[in-house]
Amino acid sequence: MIGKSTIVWVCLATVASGILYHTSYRVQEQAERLSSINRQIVAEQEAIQVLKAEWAYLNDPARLERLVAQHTALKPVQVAQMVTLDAIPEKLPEGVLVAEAPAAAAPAPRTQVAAAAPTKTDAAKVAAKPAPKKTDAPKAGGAKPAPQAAPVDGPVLLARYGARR
Amino acid sequence: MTDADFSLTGFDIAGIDRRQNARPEGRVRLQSRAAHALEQGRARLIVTAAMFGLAFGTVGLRLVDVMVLNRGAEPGAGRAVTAGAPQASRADILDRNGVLLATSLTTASLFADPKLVIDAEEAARKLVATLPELDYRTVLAELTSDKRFVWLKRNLTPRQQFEVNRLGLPGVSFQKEERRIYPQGNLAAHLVGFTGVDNNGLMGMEQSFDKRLKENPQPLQLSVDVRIQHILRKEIMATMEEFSAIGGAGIVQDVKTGEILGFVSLPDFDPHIPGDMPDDTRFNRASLGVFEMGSTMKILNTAMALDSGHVKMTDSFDATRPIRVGRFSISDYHPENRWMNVPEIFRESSNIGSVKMAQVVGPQGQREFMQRIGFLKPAQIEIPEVGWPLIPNPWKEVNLMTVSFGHGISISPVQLTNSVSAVVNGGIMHPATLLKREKGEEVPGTRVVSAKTSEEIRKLMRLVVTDGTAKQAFMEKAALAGEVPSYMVGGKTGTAEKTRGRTYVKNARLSNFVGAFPINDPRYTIFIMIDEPKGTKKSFGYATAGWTAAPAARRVIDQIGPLLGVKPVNLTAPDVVEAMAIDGMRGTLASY
Repeated sequence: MIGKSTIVWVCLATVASGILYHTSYRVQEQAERLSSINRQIVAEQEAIQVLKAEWAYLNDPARLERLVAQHTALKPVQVAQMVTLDAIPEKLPEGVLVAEAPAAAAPAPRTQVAAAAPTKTDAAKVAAKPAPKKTDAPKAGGAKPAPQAAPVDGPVLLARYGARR
Repeated sequence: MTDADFSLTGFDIAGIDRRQNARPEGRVRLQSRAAHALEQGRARLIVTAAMFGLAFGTVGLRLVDVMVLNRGAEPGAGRAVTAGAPQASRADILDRNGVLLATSLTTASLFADPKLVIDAEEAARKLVATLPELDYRTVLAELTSDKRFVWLKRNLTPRQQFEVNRLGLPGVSFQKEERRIYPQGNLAAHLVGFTGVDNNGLMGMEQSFDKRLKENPQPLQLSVDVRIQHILRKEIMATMEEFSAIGGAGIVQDVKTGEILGFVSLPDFDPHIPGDMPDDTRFNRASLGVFEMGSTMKILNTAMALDSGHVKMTDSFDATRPIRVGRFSISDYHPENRWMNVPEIFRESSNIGSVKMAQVVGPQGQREFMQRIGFLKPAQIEIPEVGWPLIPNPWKEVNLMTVSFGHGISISPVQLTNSVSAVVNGGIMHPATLLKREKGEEVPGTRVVSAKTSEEIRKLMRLVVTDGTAKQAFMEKAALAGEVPSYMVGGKTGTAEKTRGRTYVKNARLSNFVGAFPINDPRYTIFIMIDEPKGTKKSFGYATAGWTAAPAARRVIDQIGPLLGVKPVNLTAPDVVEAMAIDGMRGTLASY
């Protein structure tokens, strides 16, 4: 009798200690992984901080202004370029109107988005067009051909940005 | 069971005693000699059992506590790093749109232990090839020196660190250091300030929010907008260059919240190397410098006179001859030599008329008004570089006269801008702030002039732009004819002679312009000051504000208008003309 219960208890203790050691080693392993991941996170955070600083540095308005002048025909929005919503005619007889960017070499007039529309500006309300802000990243990349739009109902203005080389 | 006569344990085993005396007794009984030892043994057994019970009980309880009750809070368990929280010891500074103005980077600094360097010549050669800014001879001298630690280069870029690491030089190692970086460079140098080598703020917001930046890792968001700041700085710089000026300042303020969107002082410095620049570059002209502003003070003088209730817009004042005070004489720049009403005095910027208007209020009233608009104390903004205004003491009749046209009182640009914002926005003064206000946040404010006075001042400021000293800067034929829309700007120019010692110098002027737009319902005020401009051929030798500060302001407004969502209007539209018309005045617009 004594022998039997002792055997049971010894077996139980062996199994328990086996499980305990197994668990303990797994915990150790996990802890090592955690600390390595933590180190990685810190390194990534530092890298992110560096990239943020570089992003801010590269987006310096003065630099963007220089690049925009160099690579595109974009200029700051002029007051004259703003037209009222009423000044845009209901429908253009020609269909789609394309405002061409001037060649890069010639100091040509600005991208006349507004000039395409008749300058009937007697309304008080002005449609502040989503003008290309100066600090926005320029849509560089040469002269993309304007998509050949299918006949449309409303008035459409297409502006081709970017200098042609 | 046994036949032994005695027992070692002291127990009298059954049968022995019974044979001697036949008394019926219990089988086991205590003999008096053994009883004591027995008691002692029992007591010892109980104590030991209790001790063991207690020990095992404690272990058991602790096991339950650790395994069942206290899960997860095991000591020594690693913690995950909070994602997103910057590890730097100093928080970032952002502009109102979240553009980085200042940040801390962990950089690697290169050092060497000369004792461990095997081949100093080779190491020096390789290092100089990788970091061309190092000098071969200096590096070699360092590497062959007798020390155990020498700095080779502080704050390497990650790329440089990688390159040096790839060389695989023994004895050369990196030390992590923290460095403050200002990605926008000079752009907001006076505002953001800079830190010293030990990462303590030494100027601007870095200084005034030093504790906050160190303790709270959340970024500090300022009210300035980098785009507006850039445009303002660019235009002031261009004007300074054109007129060979020695300095300049510019401020753009939101009149409804008091937030400062642009804050420029020129010349400025690179916050990474503040010590290497001339001392003058670190001088903050926009808030630390106090100046006699000249005619721009007439906005406040007129507001004071109109708000006192004793002067009406239609009142006329005698400006036929100069005013003599002791050995001084106060005259006009463009003498009209006639009686003028309030709008005419304002438009022509008549000193004589302004003095007469101020005399109606008196020195006490004037002082009281100046106190109300905050000219007797330094401006309440967040940076430490704030100048004390120079005010007359005692405030006598002669001071009243000079103050009325902006002399004898020196204030900082930020004070002037803030007071003009208050006068045009309906009469409520909101404290100027360099921190971004949250949307819907309650803006503190105190009334300084009545809404009626504010409206009259707006009309007067518009008059200066349409018909007065700022006309050539703002009014073009196309805009006047209604062919192109234009921003509704109102403003006032001011040109003051600077003092050197006790006398005024003719050729050292301070030209400034303060304006608000759109003037029919102002949202922003703009202040531009050019320090000592010299006339050019193009300006026919003039260096007055109408030729220097006002055109700069116009260019700034034209560029920041779209960014701020201000709509330009057609100047010939009847409602626009009507809104700004002054009774009894026929201006350019009315005649078209």
